[in-house]
Amino acid sequence: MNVQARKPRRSGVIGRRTLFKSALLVGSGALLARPWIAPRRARAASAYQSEQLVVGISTDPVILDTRQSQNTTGVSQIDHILEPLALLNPDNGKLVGVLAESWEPTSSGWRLHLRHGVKFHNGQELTAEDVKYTLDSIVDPANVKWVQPTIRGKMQRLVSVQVQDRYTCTLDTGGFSRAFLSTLTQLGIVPASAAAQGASFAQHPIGTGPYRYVEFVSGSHLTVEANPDYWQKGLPKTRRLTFRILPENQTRLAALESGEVSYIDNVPPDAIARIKGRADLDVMTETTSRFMHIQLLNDHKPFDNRNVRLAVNYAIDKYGIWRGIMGGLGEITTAPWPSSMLGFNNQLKPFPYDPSRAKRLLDEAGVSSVHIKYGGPDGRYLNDKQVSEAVITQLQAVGITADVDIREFGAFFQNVFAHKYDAFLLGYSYAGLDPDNAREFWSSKSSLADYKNPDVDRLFAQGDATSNLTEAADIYRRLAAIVWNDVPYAWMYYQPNISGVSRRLRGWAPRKDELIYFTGAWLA
Amino acid sequence: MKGGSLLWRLLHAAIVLCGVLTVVFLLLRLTPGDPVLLMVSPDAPQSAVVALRHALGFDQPLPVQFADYFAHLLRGDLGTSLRQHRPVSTLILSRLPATFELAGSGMLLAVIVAVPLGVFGAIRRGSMMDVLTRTLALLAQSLPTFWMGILLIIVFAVHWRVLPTSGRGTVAQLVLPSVTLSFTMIGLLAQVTRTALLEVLDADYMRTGRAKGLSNAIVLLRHGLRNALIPVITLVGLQIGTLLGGAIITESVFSWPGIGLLAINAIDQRDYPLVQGVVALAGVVFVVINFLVDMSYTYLDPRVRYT
Repeated sequence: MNVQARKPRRSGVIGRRTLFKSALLVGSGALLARPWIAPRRARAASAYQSEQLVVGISTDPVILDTRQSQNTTGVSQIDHILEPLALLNPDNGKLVGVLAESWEPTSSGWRLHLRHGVKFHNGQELTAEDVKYTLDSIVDPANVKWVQPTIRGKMQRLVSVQVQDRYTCTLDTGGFSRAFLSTLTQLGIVPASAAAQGASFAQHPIGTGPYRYVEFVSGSHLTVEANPDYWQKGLPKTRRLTFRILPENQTRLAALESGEVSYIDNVPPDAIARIKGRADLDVMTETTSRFMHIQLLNDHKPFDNRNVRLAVNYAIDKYGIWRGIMGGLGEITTAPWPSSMLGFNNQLKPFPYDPSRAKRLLDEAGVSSVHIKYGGPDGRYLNDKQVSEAVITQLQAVGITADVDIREFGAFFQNVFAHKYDAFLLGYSYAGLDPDNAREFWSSKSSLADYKNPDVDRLFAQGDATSNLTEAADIYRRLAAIVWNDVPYAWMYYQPNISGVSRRLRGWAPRKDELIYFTGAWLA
Repeated sequence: MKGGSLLWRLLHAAIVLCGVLTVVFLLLRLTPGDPVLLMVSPDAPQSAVVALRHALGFDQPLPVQFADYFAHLLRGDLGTSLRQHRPVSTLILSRLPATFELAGSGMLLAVIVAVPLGVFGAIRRGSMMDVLTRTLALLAQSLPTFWMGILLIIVFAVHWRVLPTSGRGTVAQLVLPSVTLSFTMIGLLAQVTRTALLEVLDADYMRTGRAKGLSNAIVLLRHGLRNALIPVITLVGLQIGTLLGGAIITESVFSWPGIGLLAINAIDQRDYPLVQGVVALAGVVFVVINFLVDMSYTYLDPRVRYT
């Protein structure tokens, strides 16, 4: 470091010295202007609390249309422009109307009543036709190339959308589906006039949201500007909002520390102390619904034996991993889904760390020493590689040795899908904060761990078929107990969501569903 | 060289490009990871995966996919990005200016610093300064780009706050990434300049120049440097290609929205058409630069002629 700093002066070449001086001149010129830092104080007499807010995010939204992009960070940004029919309150799992004001169950689906007087950014009023077009475009076979397959899969049961009047439409899902509404929380409504554009709608998205699209440079930034006709009065609080795309951890941290951005997502746990050590910055954490676990191939030896799977649960020191690698942030998993969701089962208890019991169970199962293939992703989840390393060491201690294969997610997941691993680390997030989101995840037909339990399939179907929430909660509590005690996986912890913020940032709080909204945020 | 060699060179370039594209096409498909699986969520039903694979044509035999790819290529169609649903050519063109800007300024900076350094080393060969310069040049060359970049960000953007951390748009934002990018090259370039100049310093024409009464500086610049420049320019040409590659790391560290960042994301997502497009572009750049380097020889050394 010292050597580098001295180099220009010691080199003794005149041309170089002049160069250094002119570089300083350029530098000081930049110092005076510093256009990359937002003005410290908003001008008076504005309808907004602050003129500008710049935030740093780790993931590129790639494409500004929720029908096409389905990564959570991307959806967060798009949701500032396009709005869904309803959103979940992440603290209690209840649906809150956004573009739909109310809804009621019908025998074959849902009837939605839209909010009146909501206008798209092009001045057109939101009507039931727009909702119909948006939903239809997802299941339209002609659009299979550009509609995100996950949302398409979840919408597949939609039979038709009938427009009843300007503000009312009926969704026919071929039999009642309670959870269908929670799928809609991830889908931004686009105007029916977007039909002509197809996939290219995303290049200049028009929605009903608090912000209008201004500019998107992939890999660089997304800028949006307050929608003066927004239907929620008093929002948004900031006139201009810029998301800077900063995938590199150190660069993102530096941007926060230098004051270029007032918020960053995905703070690495080892940088928390560094941020907290500064008077102008703070760290905010929230436990997400993403549960990290080790999947065990349920229909292959040795994990076809429940006792062996149970042994793995006792052998892994999840508390140690959680404290040591996650810094004690997030929470230990105590049930298949968190307490904020429907049908949380508070009777279930996490398996304690008990290696001698694990050994005993393995002995009883007749597999005192066993060799498995273990797979883990690198760089997909928070400190995933270290977690895998800890798990392998702990398994070894009870006599389970492994061929270890830790790779980049793309290659890793291909192997998972091809069932090449006996055990692998995975994180699963309830995007709609409804237990039904995990229906395919635990289904006998599509479980990645080949977990098959007809009772689970049946209870999922029952929980979705009832419109009575008390009844549904009861069904899901029973379901949770079955899944928990079948130990298809080794349960570990919910991943924390760690944000770095400027202490001047107001009106922003982290959410359990990992969505990041700045509609109510401003700089003091 | 004999007549028609220009045509021959163009043909040669076309063959090289075809080879590059074939290799990339095959390597991508040999690389573990499936673009379709990366587009669906972990719990997608098998039927969704099959349907998407079919819609994208990835269920076709490899030779069919390959023929299809080349047929489109001949019509100037690089395909559509699997993730961004836009033509690959549009995406690349939108990112190209940023990368050229960075690679260009990085190269310029490297030449401005390294050539005088090399000249100095040659004429004061063996002096303390020469040894020191060479040691520092070696050090600069050995430092990893990402480490250098992050160090510069911490010093200039976080501590002194005289330059922005990252992004593109203002001249100030160009400074740190170009310095970072130029760093690895300065050492190499200074070394080659020094060696090349040393070789010509004792040449007969240099002595002749001095004998006919020219000043030392003029002999050095007009006769010495001009002759020494050929290997330097070859190196600069080759390095521009490397710079476009090396820019990948620099672009990531500084969130510079160029080709490198586009390529990294495309590779992560196994966005085959986009990766193929970026590599095709890199191939074209290499071929064009080599061509220009060859052409520059005729200017520097009148004995070299292409027709």
